[in-house]
Amino acid sequence: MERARAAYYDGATARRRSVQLAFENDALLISENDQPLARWLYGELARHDDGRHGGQSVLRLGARSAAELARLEIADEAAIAEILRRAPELGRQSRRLTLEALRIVGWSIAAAASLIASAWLLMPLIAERLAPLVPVSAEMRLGEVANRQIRTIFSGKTCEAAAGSAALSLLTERLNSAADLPMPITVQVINHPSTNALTLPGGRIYILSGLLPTVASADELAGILAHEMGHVAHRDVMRKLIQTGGTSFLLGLLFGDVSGGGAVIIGVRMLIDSSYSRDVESDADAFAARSMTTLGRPAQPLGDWLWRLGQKDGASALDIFRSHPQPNERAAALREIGLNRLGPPLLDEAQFKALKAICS
Amino acid sequence: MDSEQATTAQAAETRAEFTGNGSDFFDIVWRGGLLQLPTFGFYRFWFITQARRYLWSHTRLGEDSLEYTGTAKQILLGFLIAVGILIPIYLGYFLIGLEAEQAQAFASLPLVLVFYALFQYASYRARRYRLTHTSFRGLRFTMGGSGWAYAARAFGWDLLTFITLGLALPWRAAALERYCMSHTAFGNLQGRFEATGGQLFKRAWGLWLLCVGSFLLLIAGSGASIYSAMMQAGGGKATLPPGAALIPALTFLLFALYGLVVWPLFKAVQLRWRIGGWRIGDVAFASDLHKGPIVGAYFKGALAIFLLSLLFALAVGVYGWALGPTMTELNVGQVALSFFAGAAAIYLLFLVCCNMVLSRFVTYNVWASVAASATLSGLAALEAAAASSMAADQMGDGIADAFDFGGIGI
Repeated sequence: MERARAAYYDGATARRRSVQLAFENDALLISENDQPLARWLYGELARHDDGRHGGQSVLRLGARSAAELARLEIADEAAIAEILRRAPELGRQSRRLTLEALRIVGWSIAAAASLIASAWLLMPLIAERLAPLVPVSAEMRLGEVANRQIRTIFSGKTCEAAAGSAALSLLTERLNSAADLPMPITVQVINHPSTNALTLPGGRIYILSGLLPTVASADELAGILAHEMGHVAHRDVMRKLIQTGGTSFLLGLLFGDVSGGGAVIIGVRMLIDSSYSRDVESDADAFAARSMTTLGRPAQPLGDWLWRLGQKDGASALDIFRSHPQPNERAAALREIGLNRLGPPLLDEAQFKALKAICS
Repeated sequence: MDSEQATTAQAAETRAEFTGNGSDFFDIVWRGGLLQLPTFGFYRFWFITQARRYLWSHTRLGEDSLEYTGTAKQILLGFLIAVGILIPIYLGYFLIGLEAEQAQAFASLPLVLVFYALFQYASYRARRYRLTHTSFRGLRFTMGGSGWAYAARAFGWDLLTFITLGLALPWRAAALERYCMSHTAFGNLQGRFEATGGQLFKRAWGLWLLCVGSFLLLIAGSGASIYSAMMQAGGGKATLPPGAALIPALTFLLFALYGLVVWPLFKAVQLRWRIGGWRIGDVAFASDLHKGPIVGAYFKGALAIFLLSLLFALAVGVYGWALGPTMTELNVGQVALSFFAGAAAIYLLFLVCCNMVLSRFVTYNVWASVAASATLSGLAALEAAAASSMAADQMGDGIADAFDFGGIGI
């Protein structure tokens, strides 16, 4: 084939020119009324989205040396075949697409692996190193904000019966004397039916009143309180805040762009968080055990209480997502801790009774 | 009119044409959808680019088709820059929230306003990116203007639309389209917008009346039944009137009607009106878009998503049911983990399938109907157009993409 007809646009005006193509050895010669307009080398041709016209395919070409938008549109089937024969690269569109897709998949998987590894391995380390560096004043301020939110969620009032409050302060004071805490603490009881105790940033500890009927002795309650003080001592809330913020951010980068990927982020984060907080809880238990033995009191009652709680709940299918390790494992660890010398009780019977009745 | 005049008038009118076919487009869609799974969604930049190239190159005006010259890398770059802009905003807002919440817990209204402004800015920039990467007959479209000026106008008009219960919507659409088109050019041919809000209002007031009327009726109905219940309670008996039980069902039906019928109908009317107002130099556009295909496209999309939801809910159920017997007291954790992982995978696949269905039934069908509905007059005037020196955007949709508007935007 020697000559064919095509439409040509020079990329400088929108004028449609009806041109003749001549197939030279190394280039395509484009001429209008026998006046040469352009000469495009076969090697520098680029294909730009074939169109279709009247059921027929239209090949749209550009050239790297020509104006960026200069185009040649060829509808003649024989001419298209001739060009594809002389510039075979133009015919390998689908292979190019496959290679491109493979490259994108490869890079995406590498990026994902790096982000997940950072979230899993690096973030806990960073949080651990960073948390002690946060000034206590900043943590107290953060605590104020958290406190407002918590008080909105647990709308119950704090319990302040006089005798109970006195007993609570006494217990707190004694435990505090055995612990070397980085900041002052406040302990209060909130009127709420759950069996729980929580520590906020800035050394604020809340005992939910639903917990009180479940403790059988002052030592059990002291163990629980000492455990929460352990969180304050290790600045766990700050660590957790930094770590959660960091992992959410990293995983958000990864999944955030699949629409609705939020549910996946929360799930993955829960898994990472729970594996991390198992260690945190065991460390707080160890802290509680040290505080109790320093005061000459046994650590075992905290273990007994956890064990009773575990019996009541049973192992649930969601254990893997729960932030606390299985109570039974923790109880077993606490029961192994011995006591050298037995000191006086932290609260006497009357004080313990008053504390349990702080909400009435 | 003598026959010669009639022929010249006809010759000056050019019917646009859509030459694509659904199954070719679906090849791009399913491949692009599935590749988003192993790439954590990143393949969507390449998918959107391929889809646009297909739609553009099969839209024919006269003897030539459009060409999309944007690249996936530009959109990816725009996305990364948008992430870079959004991160400090998120962090800054977090810090402001820390301070503000000292006064009042859970205050977050200003963030909504920030995102509203960014959203409007982004939709302008997205339009500009698509337009400046559209070329025809070897020339590209250009678009100037400012995204922030557009966002400010949109804010004012939205406020007015809100106050007037939607009555100002046609004039809002006209004002914003006028802003966009008056900053649009094809080479050295200046664009403008000649349709008016009044024209759109004339065509769409019935829909407005239907929406506002039925909604007010619903509110009045619920109010009346609550009132009568309270009056009866005063007399010692607190029973709702028999019709009251229907109110939730009626509300649901009404919103289904808005989403499935009223919105597509309005979309069809608005698109037709909008295209009819476009002018590029001496070239005038017109459209005879029918409502049927647009309503049909949305209906097919909704039906397909409904069926997909049933199918995937069933899949999660069957998976959980199959895992049940393998659970013993010792492996509770592992079984829960594999259930979660499986359900998450099914969920992601569901999202991808929804996007495929929307791309194929809504985006593609609407594009094909709209493209085929257009008529251009005075296309010969383009012969005189010459390239302008204004450059095309070098970064893609940016923030618009970072927000991710449900994945149906092409």
